[in-house]
Amino acid sequence: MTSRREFLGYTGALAAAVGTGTTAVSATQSSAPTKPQGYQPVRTLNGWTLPYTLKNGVKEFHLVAEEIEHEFAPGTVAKCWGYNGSTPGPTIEAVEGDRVRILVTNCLKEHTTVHWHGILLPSGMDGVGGLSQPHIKPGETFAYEFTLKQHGTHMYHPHADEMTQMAVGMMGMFIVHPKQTDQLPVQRDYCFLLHNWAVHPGTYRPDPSILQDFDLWTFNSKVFPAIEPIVAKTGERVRVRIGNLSMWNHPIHMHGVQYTVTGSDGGRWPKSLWRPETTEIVGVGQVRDIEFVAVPGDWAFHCHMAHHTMNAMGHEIPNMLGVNQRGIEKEVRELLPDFQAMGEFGMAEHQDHVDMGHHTGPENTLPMMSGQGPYGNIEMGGMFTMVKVRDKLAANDYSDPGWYSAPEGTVAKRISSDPNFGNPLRRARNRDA
Amino acid sequence: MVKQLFMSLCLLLVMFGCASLPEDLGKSEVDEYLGERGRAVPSPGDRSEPISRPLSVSDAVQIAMLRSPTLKAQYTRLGLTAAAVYSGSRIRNPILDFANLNPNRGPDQNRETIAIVTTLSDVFTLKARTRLATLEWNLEKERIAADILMTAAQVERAFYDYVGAQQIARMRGQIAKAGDISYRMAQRYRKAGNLNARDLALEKAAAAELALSAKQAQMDAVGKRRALADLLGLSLEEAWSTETSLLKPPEDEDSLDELLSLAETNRLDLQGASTQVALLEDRLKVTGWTRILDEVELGYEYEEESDGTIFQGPVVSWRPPVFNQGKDQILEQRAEYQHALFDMAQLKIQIDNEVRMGFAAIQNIKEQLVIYEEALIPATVEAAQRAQEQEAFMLIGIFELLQTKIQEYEARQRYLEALRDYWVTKTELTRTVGRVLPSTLESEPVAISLEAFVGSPTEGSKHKHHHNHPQDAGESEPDVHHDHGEKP
Repeated sequence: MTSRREFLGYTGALAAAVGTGTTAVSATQSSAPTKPQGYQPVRTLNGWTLPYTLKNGVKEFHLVAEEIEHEFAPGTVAKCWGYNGSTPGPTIEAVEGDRVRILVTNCLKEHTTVHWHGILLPSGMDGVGGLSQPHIKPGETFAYEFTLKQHGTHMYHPHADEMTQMAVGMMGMFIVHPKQTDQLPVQRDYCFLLHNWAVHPGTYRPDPSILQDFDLWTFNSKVFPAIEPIVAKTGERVRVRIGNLSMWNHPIHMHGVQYTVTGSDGGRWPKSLWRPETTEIVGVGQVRDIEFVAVPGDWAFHCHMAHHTMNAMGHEIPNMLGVNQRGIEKEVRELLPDFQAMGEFGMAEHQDHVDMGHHTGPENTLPMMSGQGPYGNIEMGGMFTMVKVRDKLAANDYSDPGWYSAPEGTVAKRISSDPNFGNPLRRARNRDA
Repeated sequence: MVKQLFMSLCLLLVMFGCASLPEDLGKSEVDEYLGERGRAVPSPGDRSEPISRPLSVSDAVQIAMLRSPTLKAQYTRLGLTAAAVYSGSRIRNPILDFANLNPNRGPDQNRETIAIVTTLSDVFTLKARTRLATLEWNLEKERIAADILMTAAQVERAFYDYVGAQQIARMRGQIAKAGDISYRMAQRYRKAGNLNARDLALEKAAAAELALSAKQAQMDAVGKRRALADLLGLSLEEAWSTETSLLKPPEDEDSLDELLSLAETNRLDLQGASTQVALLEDRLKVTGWTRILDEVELGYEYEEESDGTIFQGPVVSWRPPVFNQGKDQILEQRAEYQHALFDMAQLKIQIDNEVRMGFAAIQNIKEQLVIYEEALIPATVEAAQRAQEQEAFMLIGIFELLQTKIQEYEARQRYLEALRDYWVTKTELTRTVGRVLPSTLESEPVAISLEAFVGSPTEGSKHKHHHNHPQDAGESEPDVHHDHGEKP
């Protein structure tokens, strides 16, 4: 018997289609109607959802593996590899029970395959080159076809020259919505992939040979401040699906709420397994779904590894903290006119210097930290974005609502500029004295 | 009687007159050789004032020509040769014999004997000897001029060595300064607790190495100054200086054919070898007939006996070549003549090869200079600039930045060494060709300023208009950081 979801899914696809072979669902997310196919479509941060064509009851998707030009944030572009013009590739969305056919055309100069990470399917569709199937040679198109027997948040990525192809951006999200309606439906559903890149300063192509010392840490191949915010209306239930195809585990932290970890690529967990957290480690190869009820404000949402919220920085530079360079700085400038001493009191001044144009960095390289907020420099990069919740926000409105205007009396305020103010208790180093 | 003898002698002197010597003993001819080859000898008045301005290379050569005892000593050889010309172009003095012998008995008168003898063979050989002596004199003038040209080339080489050494000493000084700054910065890092003792020691050692290198370069410059001073005939104590910049080489160089042609006509040692061959050939011919003649003496003797009998008349003595026809002289002189021929042939080959080698060396060093100017220097400059960008974005630290700057300086130093090598090679080619080269005379090279190499202090700083930054103040300034662009 056809479920209501399935019925709505077919009619939704047919309503937009003109004969077979035409795009059934628009690729533009902002105009997509809520739940045309019986589920809340996922919003891919900075990304998009791949449309399908319904052919004889099979949802046919078409991925194209190719080299692309990708902007991590204004100031850094690179020659990456992705799918259908983007990295990560477009999100594939389907419903548990769907028969899907995914065509993969290889426009790379070497062979490839696609592995459907965490999806239960026949061995020959698993996408491991040489093991499951012959490699897809340049110019060839292969068809993967299987029935989705599960729901959950999944990923897809190459399994041929995997280290290289993933390192330069080939990956995407694969969301399988449950057949049955969610017991606790969400009003907004977001997804993004965690990844890391070695785009060495001054270069224009990621280096796949780097296994640890990365320069850029991304949400959906973007760095702060170019990562779209997660927007929601106050009181909405929001899901964020996070997949990790980077080389590190990431403790993903959200300010303002205790979210609940509700699922993985094993599907939405039974409620008894849900965990309240404010930080959840998403391990390499893992997916985690987190859900929360939106509270008003602008909330930081980021990996809690501090260097993952920075862009490229030298990892073996001498420690400048506490180093008095007064006097000698002028002597250095006699040899190097553009030299500017910094770091004695911390690295916060670096953003000011960069923003004022005092520091010119290497070509095609983002500064270590940037971003302006309503109260000053945010001093972040990498895996950092915001959850922006407003009392008034239309259902389909995913646009950036600007800065939060905090109600009177709810912003931390200065009460003294005197460093000797008050009489705070301090602990002496030698307590026996 | 005596009067008749005297008159006969005077007649001989008039008939067989001697060659006369110029007052300057041939110096003007030597100077003419030099002038023809681009080394005009200055008059003493040209450089009578004290040395007040930095010397150019041509100044140095001129001063050497006027003041160098070594150069002046070359001219004294003219006197030695002139002496040979003088004696060679004259007849030996006659021998005047007089005897007044007393008898040992009776009232007999003393016996008087007067004789005058001259070497007749000197008369026969006078013309040939005069000719040979003149050839010897010409040969010596050529040799003296060649040696002066050699010394002039040595002066030029010493000049370029000295200027180059000064520039290199300054570059090493700049490099040592960068190393010193790096070490003192390391001390600041150590004081802040951010650098371990080993790394500080390594920085100190590196700075010390650079300082030593600078000191050695300074001493090398002193040594080069001394070498130049010796050649110029100046004291190290005197306050003189040279231009401090080497010149950029001229665009166009002399062609190989031109150099070979110039060498053939200007090398005075080659000309001297030819004169030597001509001299030995002539001497061989002269010996060919004089060995038969040997020594012939002609005289007149007057003898008055004690009884008043007078004996007088001519006397002749001659050693006929009965047992020895002087073949030993012929053999020896023929061997010398043939040896001189081979020496000249070898010298021609040597000169030809030297010119070709010099031409190749000039081409090669100019190609090296192009690589420095178009590749290495711009690349090291860019590397330092890009390193500054990386340091500004905290991608590298100050020590790596300074090291990149040192690499730029070291590349510039090697360029200066190559530039010096060019001028030294050019000087050597000048010596090889035997005259100042047309390319040197026609060009107006541009000086390469060392200031452009070591950079200007604060030009280009993007920070100069920034409001007062605590980092610019002295160490005694309060330790408060000025917040940049704090928003309300």
